[in-house]
Amino acid sequence: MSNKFPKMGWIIMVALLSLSLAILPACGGGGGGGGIPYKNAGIFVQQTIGGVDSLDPAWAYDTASGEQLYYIYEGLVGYDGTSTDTFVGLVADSWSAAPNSSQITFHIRPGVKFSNGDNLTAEDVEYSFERHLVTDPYDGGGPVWMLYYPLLDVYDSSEVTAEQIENAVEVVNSTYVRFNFVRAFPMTTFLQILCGSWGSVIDKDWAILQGDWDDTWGNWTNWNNPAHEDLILNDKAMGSGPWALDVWTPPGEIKLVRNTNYWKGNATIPFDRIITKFVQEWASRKLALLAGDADLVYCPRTNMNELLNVTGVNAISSLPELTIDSFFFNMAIVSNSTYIGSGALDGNGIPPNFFTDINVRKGFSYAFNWATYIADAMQGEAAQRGSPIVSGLPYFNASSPMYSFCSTLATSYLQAAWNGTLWTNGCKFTLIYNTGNLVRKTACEILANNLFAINPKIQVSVLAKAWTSTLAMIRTRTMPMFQIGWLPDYADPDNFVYPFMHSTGTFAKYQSYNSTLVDSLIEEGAVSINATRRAEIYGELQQIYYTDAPGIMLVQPLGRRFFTTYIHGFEFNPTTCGQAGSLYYMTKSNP
Amino acid sequence: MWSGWQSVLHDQVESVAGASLDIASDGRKVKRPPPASGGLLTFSKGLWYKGGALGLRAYIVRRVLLLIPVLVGVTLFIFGITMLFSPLERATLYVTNIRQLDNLPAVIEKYGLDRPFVIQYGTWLGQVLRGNLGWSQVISMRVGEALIRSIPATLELAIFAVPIIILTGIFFGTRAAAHKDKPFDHATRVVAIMGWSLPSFWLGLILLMIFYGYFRGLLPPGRLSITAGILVDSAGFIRYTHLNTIDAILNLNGTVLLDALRHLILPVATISVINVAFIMRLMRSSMLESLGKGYILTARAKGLAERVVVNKHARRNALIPVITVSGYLFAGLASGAVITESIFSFQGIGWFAWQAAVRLDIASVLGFALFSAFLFVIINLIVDILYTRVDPRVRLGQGVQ
Repeated sequence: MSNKFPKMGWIIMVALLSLSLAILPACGGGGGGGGIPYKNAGIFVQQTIGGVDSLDPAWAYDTASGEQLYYIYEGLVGYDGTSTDTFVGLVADSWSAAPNSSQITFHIRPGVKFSNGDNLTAEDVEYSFERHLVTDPYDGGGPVWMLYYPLLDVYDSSEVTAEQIENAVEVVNSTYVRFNFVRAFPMTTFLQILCGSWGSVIDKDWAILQGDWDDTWGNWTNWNNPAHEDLILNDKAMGSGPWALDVWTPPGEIKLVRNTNYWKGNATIPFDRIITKFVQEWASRKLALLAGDADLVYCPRTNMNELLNVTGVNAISSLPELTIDSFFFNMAIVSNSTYIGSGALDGNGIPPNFFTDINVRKGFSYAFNWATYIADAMQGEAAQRGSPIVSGLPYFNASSPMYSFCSTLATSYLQAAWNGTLWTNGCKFTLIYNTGNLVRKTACEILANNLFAINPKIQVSVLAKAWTSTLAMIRTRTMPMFQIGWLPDYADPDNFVYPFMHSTGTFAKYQSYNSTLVDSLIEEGAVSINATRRAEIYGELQQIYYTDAPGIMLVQPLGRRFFTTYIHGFEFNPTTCGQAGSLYYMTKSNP
Repeated sequence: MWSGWQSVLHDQVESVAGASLDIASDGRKVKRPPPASGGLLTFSKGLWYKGGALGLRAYIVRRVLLLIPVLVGVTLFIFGITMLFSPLERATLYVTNIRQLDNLPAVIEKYGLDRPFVIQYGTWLGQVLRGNLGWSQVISMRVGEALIRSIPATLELAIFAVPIIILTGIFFGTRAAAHKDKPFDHATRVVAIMGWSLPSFWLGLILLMIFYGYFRGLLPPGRLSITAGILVDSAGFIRYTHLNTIDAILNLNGTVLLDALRHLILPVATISVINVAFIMRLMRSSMLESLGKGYILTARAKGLAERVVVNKHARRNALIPVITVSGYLFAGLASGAVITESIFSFQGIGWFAWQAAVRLDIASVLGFALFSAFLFVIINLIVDILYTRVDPRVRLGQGVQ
């Protein structure tokens, strides 16, 4: 047999190896040392998770979509820098509220143009809001309820008439637009609502040209409550913001380009392009930041330490996010739930009304260790809160009472619960968290372990379930306790206390928490135009949350941002969607 | 299923090989009609023999018609599995916001999620027949469009990876067999075992850390860099195929071509390292079997050069199992290399299917299943036709002489 073949094979193998060894160092870009290379001048690139759901302001209700809409569109007003309750004019340059707070009138700024060059008029503003109210995809859970609530005192369009919508928003003359409320409404709250992406002003002529609602009332219901696939503006956008939509290629990326018609002047826009890439793999995002291919990356809390003290990375910390995670006690568990054992307080289960006993709720609250939770699950970057009204909201009271871990008090309350039966017989039930959420898993384990340590007869098992199953079980009231977080729509206490405490609120309803006093306070606070009275109401609600203990309020996370050091001017406003903040006021330069 | 069928075919081919070939002194094969009976004859009658081009066409039509029960079966199975989830759980798929919990009954009614299985499946099938695969919650677009958008990324990976895998596997497998138990054989065996044993997510991450992390941006993930992406999105660049390399060539744009190739190296390498090992071992064992046949002994006895014996006579028969496996390899890669696509942000079919499965996006999962089953049946058909190119005794339409 000839020796020709092995030689060839060996030659190829050795050649490939040699080639690799020779080429790689030659191509090398620094061998891991040094800082981050400066790339893509004039372009802001961020890599994050998730993906844009829709570019229709009447549908988009997620932060990824909201962030892009924030760059493309402008509303009548925006938040003033880092403030959450003072405003600057955008499409409007001034506004005035009626003395009885039942109307607000905006003067439309002259000279504002959409990115296609069309002039922005009062008619565009009227059309935009009426169009959002007409579209209102309430089956899809859209954000338009926030407009309906102040304007018509309803939560969706299922029972409104064309006349009601038409009267809610009206053009006063060529430069003024007026909003009419069915009753007095706090103007600060309404302006906060207008700051969201659901307040975007779109180009009327362009939208009609795309096939959207034609501004007539004969068949407006044809455009009402559409399915996602029927949205005309799902993948299109035409706003007056600093950037315009260039290309959206779901799910991978969305590219925006400078709006050369921007009313503040083309030269004021700091980036030619904004590119957002949705990359699920953390290692890829991290390497992109270190290679200079991204200016900002989303970093999971558990990986934050990997980017600390890295040359070229600007880690901005201690940002009080307007979010809160909480345990909720289910006071009316369905009797056939498989997570309550025997369904009786016989040592092998819990009764469906187990958490109606205030002693159980308080005992459990004292059994939770916030210090361990903040250290282990939150990497030390969170602050305990005692009620849904968190830091950064008006009327937040830092000195309102909070529970703290105390085995003595926990023992005392648990001994008193169910007239001593709980302490004597013990109990068994299951705590559920959504699969993959290590933070929530840690919270469950802390509570379960502490309860077991207090009384070994109190046995709580921890189980992971898919997110879809978890949601379904909240709806069916199957879980003894559930754990979930809240992202606000706008920075008003009402947006927090309503879901947590009102008997028809998103969470309170499914835990069967019901208090006539609480309901009346919340309803009064929502529409009160008296700041002093609102302060009293929200102060009282914070106290009631502590006294009633309908859940274990966990923590308000402190966020971080990881930019390259080439990015300057970041300002944190907790209401801004996305990680980047207000890019219009930021710059990118190589020092 | 395929391996058993393939091995029967292989045995049958081997059983008549010696009788059907004469070897000329210069190494050329002299074709001689096969006998009127035997393994190949039986096979040929069963599959091909209809006479002329009509036979090939009839065969293709029959195989394409087979698609219908395959697709119905696959989708019925997957649809059945999703029915194990309660209507409420399936309705939560439509929940993009926690506030929507109240609307779940309306969602169930709107999409008929509580109707009997047969009605739900029938409704879906009716939509599909009208060209509507449903709405993808994962990508926020129609499933058909999502599949079309995802295919180019995966196809580009497969187009580059499969030839590398097959040619490298055949080359090293052939040489390993030709030098059985020699150092070269041992070396390829070690390399093959290492390649086969490496978890793709680990290999991908390591490659990424070295060539993107350590060498700061040398071989990046994704499909294009920022600047090349802007070029591709510009009005002057026409997207003929959405395969970046092909489009770059058609647009005569060297910048985009080089950039696209740079982004392909790591994912292609990750896929190749693992799959080359398999092809190499398969080729080696198939070659060893061929080299032990009588006609090889005859060829050597006639004084043919070893290169001719190995490359022309032994390798040709040994290729049949490799072709079968290569077809499935291509189908497998084209229907998604989940881990590789995820690690390298190559958002193709695999990534789409993974996301759909994780989020219980039923319409997307069913759409992917349809695509995948379709692809496998078609590639199976192509592989069958390819056999005729490998072995001159198998000729579509010529039948048995």
